[in-house]
Amino acid sequence: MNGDQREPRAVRITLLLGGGEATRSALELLTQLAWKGSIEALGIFIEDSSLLRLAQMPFSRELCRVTHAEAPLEKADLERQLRIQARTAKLAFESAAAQAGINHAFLTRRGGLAALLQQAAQEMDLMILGPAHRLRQLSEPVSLTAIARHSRQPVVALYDGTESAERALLTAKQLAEAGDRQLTVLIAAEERDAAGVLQQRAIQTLAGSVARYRFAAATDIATLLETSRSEHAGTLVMGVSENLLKTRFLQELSRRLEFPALLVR
Amino acid sequence: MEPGKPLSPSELYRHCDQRIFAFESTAELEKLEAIPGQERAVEAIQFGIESESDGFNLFVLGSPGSGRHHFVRQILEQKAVSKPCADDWCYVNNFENPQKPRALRLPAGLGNGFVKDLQQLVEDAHNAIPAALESEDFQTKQQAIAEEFKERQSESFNRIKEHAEARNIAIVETPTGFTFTPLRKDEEEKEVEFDTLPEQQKKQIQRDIEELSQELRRFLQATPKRMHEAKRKSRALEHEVAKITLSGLMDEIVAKYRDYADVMQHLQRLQSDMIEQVDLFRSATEQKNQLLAGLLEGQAQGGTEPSVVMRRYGVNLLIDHDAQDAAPVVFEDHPTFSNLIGRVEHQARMGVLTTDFHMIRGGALHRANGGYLVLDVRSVLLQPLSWEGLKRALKSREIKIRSLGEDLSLISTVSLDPEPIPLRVKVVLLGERIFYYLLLAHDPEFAELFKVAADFEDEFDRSDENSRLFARLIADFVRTDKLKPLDRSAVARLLEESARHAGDAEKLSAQVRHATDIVREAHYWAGRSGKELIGSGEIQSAIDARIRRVSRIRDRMQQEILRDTILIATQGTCCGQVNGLSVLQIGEYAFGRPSRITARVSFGSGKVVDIEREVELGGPIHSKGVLILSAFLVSRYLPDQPLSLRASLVFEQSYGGVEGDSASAAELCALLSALADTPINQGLAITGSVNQFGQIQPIGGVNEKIEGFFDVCRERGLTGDQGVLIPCSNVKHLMLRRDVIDAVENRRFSIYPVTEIDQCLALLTGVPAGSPSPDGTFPENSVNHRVRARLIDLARKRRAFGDSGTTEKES
Repeated sequence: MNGDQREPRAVRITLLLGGGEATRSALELLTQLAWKGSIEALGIFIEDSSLLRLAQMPFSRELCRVTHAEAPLEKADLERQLRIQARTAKLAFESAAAQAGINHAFLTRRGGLAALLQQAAQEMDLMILGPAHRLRQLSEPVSLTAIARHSRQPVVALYDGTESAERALLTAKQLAEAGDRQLTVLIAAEERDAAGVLQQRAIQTLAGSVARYRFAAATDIATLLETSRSEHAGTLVMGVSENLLKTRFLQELSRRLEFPALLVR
Repeated sequence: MEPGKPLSPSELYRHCDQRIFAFESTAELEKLEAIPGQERAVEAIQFGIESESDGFNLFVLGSPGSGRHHFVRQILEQKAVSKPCADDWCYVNNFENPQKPRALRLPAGLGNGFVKDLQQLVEDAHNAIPAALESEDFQTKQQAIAEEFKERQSESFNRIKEHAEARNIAIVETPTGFTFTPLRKDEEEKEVEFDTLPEQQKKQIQRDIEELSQELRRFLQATPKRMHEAKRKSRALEHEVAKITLSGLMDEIVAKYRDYADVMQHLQRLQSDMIEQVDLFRSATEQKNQLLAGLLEGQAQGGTEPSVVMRRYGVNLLIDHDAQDAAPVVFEDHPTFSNLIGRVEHQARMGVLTTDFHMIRGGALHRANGGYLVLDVRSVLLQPLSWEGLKRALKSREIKIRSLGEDLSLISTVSLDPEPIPLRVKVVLLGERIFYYLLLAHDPEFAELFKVAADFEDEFDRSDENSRLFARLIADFVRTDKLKPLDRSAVARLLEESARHAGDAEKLSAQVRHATDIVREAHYWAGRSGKELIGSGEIQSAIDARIRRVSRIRDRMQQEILRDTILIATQGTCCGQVNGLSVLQIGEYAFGRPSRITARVSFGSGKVVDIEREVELGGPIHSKGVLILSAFLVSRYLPDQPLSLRASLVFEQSYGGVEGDSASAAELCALLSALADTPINQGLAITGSVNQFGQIQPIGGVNEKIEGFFDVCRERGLTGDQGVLIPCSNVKHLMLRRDVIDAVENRRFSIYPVTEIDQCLALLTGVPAGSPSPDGTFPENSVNHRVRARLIDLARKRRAFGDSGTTEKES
């Protein structure tokens, strides 16, 4: 065997797993990616150290989602709950990965969310962020995150012409075709003319696949999520450049996601 | 016929005069309308089936093979034509309580259409409802509801968030709830160093968190209510759309069944349930696009198969009278409880037994409802709980399906409890007489429920008219069974055989099966001979063959007589010994055989000992006959003196039981012969019962008895002195075999009719019996004189014995 005939390197996918809906959505997306062939999936359950610190504050009290009762937030209780969530997430992840025939590993990391996200993003080809990540500030009731059946709703891809955006577009195309879902391409350009050029490139990249194209003048997170929501997005696929990773983009995105996102490097 | 004188050959057999028949072959005969000789039973059946009153069900009594089934079927089918066709019955889902399915009545023939109409409705609904729910208008409205909910939630939450942000506090989600944390103004979400804050600020933060917590709690508490409201609106919208869709689909079916209140009521319930259960109709596609999938979480996921919907809304057509134009006439051959009352079947699914209203099965009562149900009473009584089930249904006038296990409290699992169906049926029970009288005696409800008894005759008069009806009866049978027709001679021979089977030359057997079985066999013989018509020869062959097949035991017994293993004398004379005659019935075949009866007398206390009785081989009627002898002896010979003899009577070589009094005349003759010391001619045999006055009374099986003795005599060689004494009153029953008649014709054998015991004594001993004079004495040398003299002698001896101071002790 010579060096030119080496098998292609496995695609590394990192899943950021939280509790409940976040884990389910992320795993659903992972199984949809199984068509891609050789995949190595790494499931990471993040125990946010800031939350644990918070539990030590004298004013810390928790309002229970189920009983609506208020009680002091104890660090020991919190750690126990996180362990349970991690265990549940691990079982679900391992089961889904095994069923899809994906090589997989699972780990729990404790630390600051921003640093952990950046670190995870450095190590992957694709990163899956589940919606309603437990650490995001509550922007709306959690129960609403389950309204949409993400895996059946359109795949929305953000395309700005970069290499990672090209890869993201191809990934979105495959995802849409595999799930028989509609593909919507958000063309990220400051002007209409540039957008037209990018759309032509996207059409070429998609090689005849049917897609709906939409112009997105601004790509800040709030606008991006609002536009995706208006397209009834089930999954957001976007490329992430090195520069983007250096910003607070991932942390912000993870806070606000209402549907799973697939980040492609 | 003169008592004591031999009968002429013409008196031994009553031939059928073929001239009474105006046909050459039975193929010419018309269908039989009336049942010969069964006018009484037919009247009862007619009355029973026409009476509409409660409890006037029928019990048709009669012997097996009398053709009751055939006749009852014929009458019922004739009657059924004039009655309206019975209703169809369906079971449908009871949407309020599925354990109690509802019964629906529809006019005959509509049930099937109703099944198809509902099937079509469900199929249409399965297409139309999802289409309506997928329509853009509906989706927009649903989306608007979701958006409204979402907006209200966001609005409320944003207000809390704004309040929090205004106080530099962040809301953070924990695994099981929410908590709050103060933020620094310059950098969002970075926690302040709380411990470093001034005390007043700490308190302010805690107050702020307290207030925000209260606000968030109110928000959380209000969320389920808002969600419920959104769900309710969403459901209401779905229901409205489903209702409009269904109304259009149901217009036609409603118009079709407008006149049937129960059906209309069911259709209304069905419509309401379809609206309520609209999710059952959602297609998979529609569910994919469900905007409120989360709100509706926990409800049906994925498309529902049409078969599942069909089971819920379909119809179990229990009884279908489509294409029938008469009331039902049902013959249930296997009347188990379930076959009679119906049952609820179960299906094993994943190890669990399940059922629903589609698995309700009707019984014979359901099928016969509105008409007639014919059952064999023996079969009903043999099946566990069938009789009780039948009575319960008739009493309550409704059919309530219950499982046997439930009835016996063997199981207590939840099963279906179908709505009872009103019952209006005429039940006809067929059975032997013993069942009727046993039920009448032991079941108090029987008389209430089966008020009409139709008693089929076992035989009927052999008049010319009945003979012609008999011929038509045979013609009907031949036609039905596609057998060769009979010519006149065959019918005549069959008719004679029927009289023989009845045991009476003046009667015909009502046991049709006996005659029809012979015809079937004769058909075979005619086929073998290549004949188109069955003649008397084939009938005779069939009769002979039947007898030969079943006569092994008769032949074996006769062989033993001829080999002198069984001692029967047919020549010579002997005191105190006579040939009695008995009949053995083996299955349906009866034959006669002679039995040696002996009597011994000695001095004693006046007791006639029946040895058969002493060893418990004699039945009560036989014992009665023997006791009559004692009375006869006393009253005739020594009315004013005690009997002083000890006599014993025995059926020699009889090892089975003896029953009946047909040998009492023979026993008396043997006893008198022994007393008179006068021998009896062993070439003669005697049958008949005797009363206290010495009169000879009729017995049964006279033909078989004569033939039994004749066969033994014939095998040993007929001497011309041999013969049989029979009661005069049995002469009319004679239908003897051809060879017996021939022997009589040739004076090789004689049949003597007798009316008095004295005639028997004279014939058997050859000595005049002697008539009593007014003083009770008899002529010298007569048999009776010798008897009286012996009895007087014994009485004298007894007196002498008593004077010597000794008494006999009887055991």
